[in-house]
Amino acid sequence: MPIKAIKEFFRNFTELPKALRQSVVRHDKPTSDRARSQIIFGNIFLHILSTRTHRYSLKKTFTLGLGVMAVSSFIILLVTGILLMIYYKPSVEMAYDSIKDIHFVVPGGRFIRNVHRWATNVMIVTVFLHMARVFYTAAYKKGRAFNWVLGIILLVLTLLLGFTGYLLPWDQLAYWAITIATNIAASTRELTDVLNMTSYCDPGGFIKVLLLGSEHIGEEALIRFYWLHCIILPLALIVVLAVHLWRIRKDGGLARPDKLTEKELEGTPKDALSDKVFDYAPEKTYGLMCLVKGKSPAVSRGPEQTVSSWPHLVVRLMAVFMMTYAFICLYAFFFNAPLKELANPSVPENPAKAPWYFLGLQELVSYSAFMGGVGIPTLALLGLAFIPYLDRENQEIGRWFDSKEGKRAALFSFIFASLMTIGMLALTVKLGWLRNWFPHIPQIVITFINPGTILVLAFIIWSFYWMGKDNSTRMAALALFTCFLVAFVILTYFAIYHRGPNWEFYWLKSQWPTH
Amino acid sequence: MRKVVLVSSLIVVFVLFFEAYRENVGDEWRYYQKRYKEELKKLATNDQEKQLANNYEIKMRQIVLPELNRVDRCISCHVGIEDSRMGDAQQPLTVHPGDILEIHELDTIGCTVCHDGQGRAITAKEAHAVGIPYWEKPMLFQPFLQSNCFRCHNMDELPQLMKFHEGKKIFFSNGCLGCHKLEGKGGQLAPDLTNVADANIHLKHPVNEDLIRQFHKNFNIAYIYESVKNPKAQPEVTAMPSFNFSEEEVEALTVFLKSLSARAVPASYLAQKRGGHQSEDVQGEALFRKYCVACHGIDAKGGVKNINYVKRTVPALNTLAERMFLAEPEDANKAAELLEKGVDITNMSPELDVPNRGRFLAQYRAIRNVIEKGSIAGKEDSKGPEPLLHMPSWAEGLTRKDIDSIISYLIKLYPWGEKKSEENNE
Repeated sequence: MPIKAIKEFFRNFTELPKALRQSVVRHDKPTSDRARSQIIFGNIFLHILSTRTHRYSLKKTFTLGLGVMAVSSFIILLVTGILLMIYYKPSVEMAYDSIKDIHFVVPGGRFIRNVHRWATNVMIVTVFLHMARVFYTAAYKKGRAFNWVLGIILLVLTLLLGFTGYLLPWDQLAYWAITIATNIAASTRELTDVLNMTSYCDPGGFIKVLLLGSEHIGEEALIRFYWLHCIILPLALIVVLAVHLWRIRKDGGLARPDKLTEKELEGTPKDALSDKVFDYAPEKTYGLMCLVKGKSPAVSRGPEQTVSSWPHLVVRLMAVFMMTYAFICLYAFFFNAPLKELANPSVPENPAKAPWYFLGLQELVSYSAFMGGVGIPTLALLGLAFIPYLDRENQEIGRWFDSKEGKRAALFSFIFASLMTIGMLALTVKLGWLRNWFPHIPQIVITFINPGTILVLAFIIWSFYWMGKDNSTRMAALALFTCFLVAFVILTYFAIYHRGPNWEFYWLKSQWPTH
Repeated sequence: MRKVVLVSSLIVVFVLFFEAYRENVGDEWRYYQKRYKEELKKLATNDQEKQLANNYEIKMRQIVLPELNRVDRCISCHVGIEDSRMGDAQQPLTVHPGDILEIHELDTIGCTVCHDGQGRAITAKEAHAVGIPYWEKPMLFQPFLQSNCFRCHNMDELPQLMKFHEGKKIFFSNGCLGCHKLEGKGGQLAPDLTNVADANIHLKHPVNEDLIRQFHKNFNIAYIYESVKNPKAQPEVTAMPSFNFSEEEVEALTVFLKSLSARAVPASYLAQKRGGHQSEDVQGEALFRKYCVACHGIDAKGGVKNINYVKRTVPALNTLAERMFLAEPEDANKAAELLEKGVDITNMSPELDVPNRGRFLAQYRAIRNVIEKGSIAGKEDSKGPEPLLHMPSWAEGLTRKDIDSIISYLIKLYPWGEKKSEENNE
């Protein structure tokens, strides 16, 4: 009967939106825990989350959403970066003009470039803060050691992405910042020169040429940075980030204390199953016990204090993403990304400053190129990466600064490092350093005895002091990490705002000499 | 949490909306083009013109000049630039003054190659680039507009550019090239001026605020002007003397110097085979004025102060005849003419018929040697600072013939009249 087919066709036609929706999401509004779980593991993007999330992991003051902010800004950077690639031309002749055209005539170009530029800064800041959060909550412990190392790798990749992107506009800012930064990379020469071996072993020069493809910044460097910035580094970051997130799942979610008081869970969501203690064990279990760590199944223990990830976790992720995006959008609306005059190799910027996140290092480089450029950063990165292996103290994790003692160690270290760093800067600015006092002193002495190395030494001694005082490697780590973080922030601030032409000290930029 | 999602999403939507508005509706060029369209409608007298006015499309307009690597979007606002009916209109709709566009075709020459400014920009502020610190070539104002003609023209064919030619004359007759170099010729003591109009170091070390304002925030012009007007204002100790030029002379010289730019245009844009600024001078006086006069003084009467130099000032050269043992005007003239003719007098040519021939020749060789090799100024106080000025080496800058012409000129400068009257007085 053709009538039946026609009827069916019209019914199908009227139900098209519903059928379409169902074919995509494959379920109705979830009403049961089972349905909510299904949303999570039935969706390729969400299934990296576990179906239930611990209430403590949703506590605002615990994570501050920093890791999610970093990932959010990375997603924003990916999207805007891909859009910018359509118009950007990586050639010395055309790069600057193409940025000008993006700014002036490409539809949405200026806004997208602004978003891309400011999202970079948001990502770098949040990555640093996220690292600090993980450290101060001791979240690198209990099987999470390697994930901390992955985090350090992600930090380095983030900085490299920012650094390679810095050159692409081909303006004065870019050109001279990269000049400074690659000279920092070549700073092992200070040491090899002293040892008289630069002519046959020059690792710094090798790295510089590897980065630039030439002795000088030109077309080779530009295309290389473009390639790194658009292909290699984002790919590497995506892969490492995937492992980083995957490991959070495999390590049993975010770090949290074993015993939690109700007060500590205040302000976190709760559902019917949160307080439930399961006392029924199935007689037969098809467990993955041989694969999954821990005692399972969890019977007669708890309550587990978890909530369904849908909607509690997902809505929080969305909130953090949208907040990050809204902040960057607002900033991009009011402030244009910097673009100075066309790069001119014959007119150096004075002061020529590296990208802001390397300015702390540049301050150290002004004391000793080798120590500031290679010695101290290598030491700091290795030190950071090995923290979880050197501090394996068994302790409660997941609380800011662990305990009262931890808070005290961090506070005293904060005061100590602030005083030390500011004092050292004041001393160097006011009185100069060995070279001013003994003009004929050999460079090798300054390489090893300069404000930077003295700070590092003081911090290490300080850290050992706390190790002995509290008889704890964790306290030593807390003290050392705080010292480095404080010094990094102060040095960066100092180099951004108080260093003027010829790297001289000025209180204000308006005091820079005009002639 | 849902509220946070909602609020931040709304913020994003609003920002995107305002950005879209700013970019697609709020542009100032749209406003000017609409005004131009209204004008067109008013001016239309017949149906055809009315039709044209109604069909006038409001869109981004640009002149693409691939050979010059320029894109000039100035005509997005200056839409009436070729429309002779817009003579009385207000900026930016007014027609280009004068008949310049009749010989300079807008579609092939564009705007910025003459006017400077940022052609790619689409807002007045950024296009004119007045007070935009990161655009090195802000729009030029008179009289400096003359300087850019040099990009395509042989300036000798444009005598109407009075300021420029006045400045050029001053430049070549005050010994600037004694220290400065231009197009490969000149001294080594001071910066090469070949591309001084592109110099942007002053962006990093700005000159004083008043000057920058006086020259419409053009740092380059302010810098050139200050260097000429008041050389001692330079950041480092400079040997450049103050010339006490009048205000007008300084301006003219600045116009000339502003033309010294490397941003050459391709050959197809040259009006004719364009020469450089340098001409081939062979005459002794011209050469002296070009290279020597800044230090040795006008008519070689002795020169400027040279701090901590034994003789305190740069030596006068107008008594060369006496120092060369030429006691009589006739002998001096004879020697000077031989030198000017380019005769090589060192090989004892029989034409050289002067008394004290041997001593004359020895002295001639010594003087030529000093010009060719240069000499370091001795210190008066051995512990004092190095004198700023010293005689540079001219072996590469001047040919032997040039040097002979200059010596010849200097010999003729000897004040015989004064000498005779002194003798008579005795």
